[in-house]
Amino acid sequence: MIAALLVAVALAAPPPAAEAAPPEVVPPALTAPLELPDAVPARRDLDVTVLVALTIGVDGAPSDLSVVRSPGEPWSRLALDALSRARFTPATRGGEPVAVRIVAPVPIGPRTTWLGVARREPEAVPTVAAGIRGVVLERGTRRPLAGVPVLLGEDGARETVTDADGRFAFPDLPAGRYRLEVPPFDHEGAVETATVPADVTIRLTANATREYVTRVERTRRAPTDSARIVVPVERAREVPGSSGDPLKVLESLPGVARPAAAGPGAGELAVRGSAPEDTRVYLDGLPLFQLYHFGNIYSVLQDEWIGDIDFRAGGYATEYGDATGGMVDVTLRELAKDGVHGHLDVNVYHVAALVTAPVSDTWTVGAAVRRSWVDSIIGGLLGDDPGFAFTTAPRYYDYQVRADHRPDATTLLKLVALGSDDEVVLLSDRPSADDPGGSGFSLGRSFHQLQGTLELALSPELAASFGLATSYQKLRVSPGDQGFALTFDPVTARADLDWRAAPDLRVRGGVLGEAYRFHIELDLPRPTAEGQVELPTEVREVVTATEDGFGGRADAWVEGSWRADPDLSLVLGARLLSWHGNFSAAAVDARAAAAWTPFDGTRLSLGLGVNHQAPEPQETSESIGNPDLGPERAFYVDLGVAQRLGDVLSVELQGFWKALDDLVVPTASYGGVPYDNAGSGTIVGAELLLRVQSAIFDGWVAYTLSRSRRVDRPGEPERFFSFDQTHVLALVAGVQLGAGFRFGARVRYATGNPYTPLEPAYFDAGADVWVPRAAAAPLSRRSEAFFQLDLRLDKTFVFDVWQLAVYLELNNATNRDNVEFIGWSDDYTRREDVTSLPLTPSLGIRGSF
Amino acid sequence: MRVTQPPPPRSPLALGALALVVGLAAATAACEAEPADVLDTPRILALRADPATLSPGAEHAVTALAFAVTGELRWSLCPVAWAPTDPLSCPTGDAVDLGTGNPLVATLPADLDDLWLRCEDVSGVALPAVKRLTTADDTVNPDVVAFTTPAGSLPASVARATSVDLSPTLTGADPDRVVVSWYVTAGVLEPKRSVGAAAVTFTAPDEPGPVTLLAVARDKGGGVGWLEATIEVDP
Repeated sequence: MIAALLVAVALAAPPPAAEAAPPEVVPPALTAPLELPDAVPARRDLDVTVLVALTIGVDGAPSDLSVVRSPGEPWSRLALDALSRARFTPATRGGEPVAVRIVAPVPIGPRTTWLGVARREPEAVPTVAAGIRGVVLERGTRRPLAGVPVLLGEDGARETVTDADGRFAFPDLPAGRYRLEVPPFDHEGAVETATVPADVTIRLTANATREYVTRVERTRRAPTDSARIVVPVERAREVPGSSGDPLKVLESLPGVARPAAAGPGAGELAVRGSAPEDTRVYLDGLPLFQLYHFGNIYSVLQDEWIGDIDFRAGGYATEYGDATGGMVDVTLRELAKDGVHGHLDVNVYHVAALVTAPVSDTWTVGAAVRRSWVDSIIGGLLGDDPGFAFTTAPRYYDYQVRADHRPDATTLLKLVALGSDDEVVLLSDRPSADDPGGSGFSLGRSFHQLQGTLELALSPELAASFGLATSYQKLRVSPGDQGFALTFDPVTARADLDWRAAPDLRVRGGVLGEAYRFHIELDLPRPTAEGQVELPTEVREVVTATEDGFGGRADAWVEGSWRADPDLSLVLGARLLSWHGNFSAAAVDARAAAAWTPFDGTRLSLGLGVNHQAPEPQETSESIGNPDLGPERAFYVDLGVAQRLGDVLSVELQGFWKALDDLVVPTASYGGVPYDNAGSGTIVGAELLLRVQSAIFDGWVAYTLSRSRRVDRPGEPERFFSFDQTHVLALVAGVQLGAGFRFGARVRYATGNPYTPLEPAYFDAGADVWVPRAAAAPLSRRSEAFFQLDLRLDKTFVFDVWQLAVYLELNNATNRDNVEFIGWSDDYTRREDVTSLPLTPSLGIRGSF
Repeated sequence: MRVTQPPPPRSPLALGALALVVGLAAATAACEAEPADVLDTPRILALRADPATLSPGAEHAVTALAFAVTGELRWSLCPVAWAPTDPLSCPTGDAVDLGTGNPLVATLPADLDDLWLRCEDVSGVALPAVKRLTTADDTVNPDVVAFTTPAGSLPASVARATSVDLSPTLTGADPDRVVVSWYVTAGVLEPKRSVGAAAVTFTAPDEPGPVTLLAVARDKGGGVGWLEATIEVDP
């Protein structure tokens, strides 16, 4: 929704230069409609106007913006951001431009038209000497409701509106008993009676059919990323099969291959035919080591604090670098300042608790912790098996401690300490049938991270953001008697500026610095080329090494956005990347993008560029890798069209092509360097995203058609990439049933991944294992297609000061045996695959206040 | 069940996922999958060299434990240095043909270090088998000299569908370094592999008749020994 600015200007306190003004003053006017995003922030259901005082200079530029009245900070920021980017024709006095200070109302509303009485601007509450005063709160959440009309008397003769804190008052009432009424609108109505003097609390139940809309775009984000998808978290956590984890929505978005639930690619996001390690994950713009526990069981972040999930399949701004795949940036929601809130969450995986509390007018703190109990379940199931015993069954925990500092509308400081720890140890008291020499395996993965981000609106034209993070990351893998251990301790700092140089020109830029220390211990078989048969370890070269090292990275980026006319925008950007340490190299990323709106509701986009990415740390290690490797490179072209069809339906179609070269691949030479840059690849495809959003029904269809091919080295035949899936389809839908019930369904279909068929070659009588060989070309066959139906029923019980949300999911409702990982019989004469879980119910309960 | 063919994980995170899932798959396999311990097709089960330690230029006896293989067995050698990861790919001219027979006594070349010992079913029915011979001086062939039960020696017969615990009596090598693989022609063995003298449980089939029991003991240094016994399942 693009709301026009109503310049019902009140000339308030004109500047000194105007004191001797001639009689006629022509007020300033907008040169173009005010740009407001398509959504409103956290409080999605409010139809309000923010009053902003600002000075319009003789050049028409706004300055000295300050909020006069607002229902809350999110709306204040929205209005300030929109006005700071606006341009005016200056006010004139006697025909001469003059600077004036005005108070401008900025109407901000949701996309739907509410039935019943809409909210209004919050009004100041007078002091009540003798009368009725009170507060209007939302039932269950205790959040104050601003701008709510309150009627007094049987006929509603007197009326007031709640202020930003939800308070209202009817002063100077004669003694007696009065009827108070709040008409229904986006909440159900309420009627109370009170005897003067009285202090009343009115609790309103939110309508179940209210619409959730998406986020507010942050100023530091690039507005022209054509492949960008921002997911409303409220809907994401209700996706069937997610068990309430909003970050699992990523697997149902266009461009993302269906991640396997088991195997080496379990839970990994292969975006637009790129390898999972080519996609970067950020938290508030700073690198995040680990997004999920154990592949993809559950994310390491508390869903209550996830503000946005910003996913870009490709073609993203040069603000993000060192990646040739996709990008996920999770934004932490600003902590609620209206009181103490929290929840207790129990589902099949874990128990979690969270609490937030304001500690002053500007500081709010919070803490959350989560601990799995799936280990108890698995331990119980396998505990009686005489051969295997979990010393530590799969278990995880994570924590987050936060502090937000919001001294004013222009400054936000977010401090976060977060961490996660995954551990599993499976030991056998006898030799495995698969691996006679092995004795089980263990995995430990943990990280602890401290980070701070500071966002400043330095002036209407200039915003800055800073970020600093340091973490301790540890990974230990021990399959059998072998193992791999890595500790990685990076410090990352970034600083970005966002400058609106002219009404039609926006320039952004920044720098990033990173230094890290690592320690690697390795005792593993030498890697084989993708799709090549991995022989039993008895006959494979084993690499044993220990290495300590330092490294770093220094980047600088800049990007200019020019709005050539109201319907056409152009973006040019570049990023200089430099790596130092074991891997020393430099590269330049470049990007150009254009967006054109030929008709209302139609948007065409074009993007092209080149990205570079460093090899993985172990690949450039001196002892186990090749320090002479160069960065990998990707050229891409994206072409898109988006069409909005009314308020309910939108369709987006994206075509993409990507050429990869200098890919790091294992070498075939025995005893030589283990990697080189001989690989190349081509990816081509198209994505369709159809979204439906109405008050009672919402959902989307995401379909990706793609083909991802690789050539391991020049002269070798082209083959499929192991994560390639020709067709990937996800249908997600939910409907409000009334009475707090919501029903949802998700259908997923995906072409099976390529694999190399095997056949027995010989029996290794020393190792007591069969040894296979390829029965056809590498990755020349595909596993069976994946299909899964997940169902979910939600019910929320709302009480006065807390609420209880319960969901029941039926995962894999058709009980289909999906192939998650190709396996073979001992003698390689037949396939014995790892298949998906059967029909599995999943129950979750959350109490929040 | 084997899970030997993942795409190579490049990132440490992928390695983590690999270890987790492969491990869980192994656990699942241990619970559900049946390794090929039931003998129903021609197979070469083990190769043994006496002495177990490779002595270049010395005479060695090589023996194959073959099940239902009716054809001749042909033996050959290939230097490991020539085929480090694929014993069957020894370049022409580098393989040393030892002849046919089982057992076979041959004098090994004097100028070779580690060798692949290869045994092939001339008829092509059974898969070829290989074994690496090394000059390591700690290799000793274990011997399985008897099967025992809690009641004493192995009974001549058991009732249908009854279970009996079997333990191997080992000599010649440190039992803690020996893994025993068990095979039967009918019935069920649990577990399929054991360490040292640890017992396994044999459950007789429902069908009466003779059942062949095989135990192959492998020392971690490369030594091998085996014992075959027949037990009658009563009607």
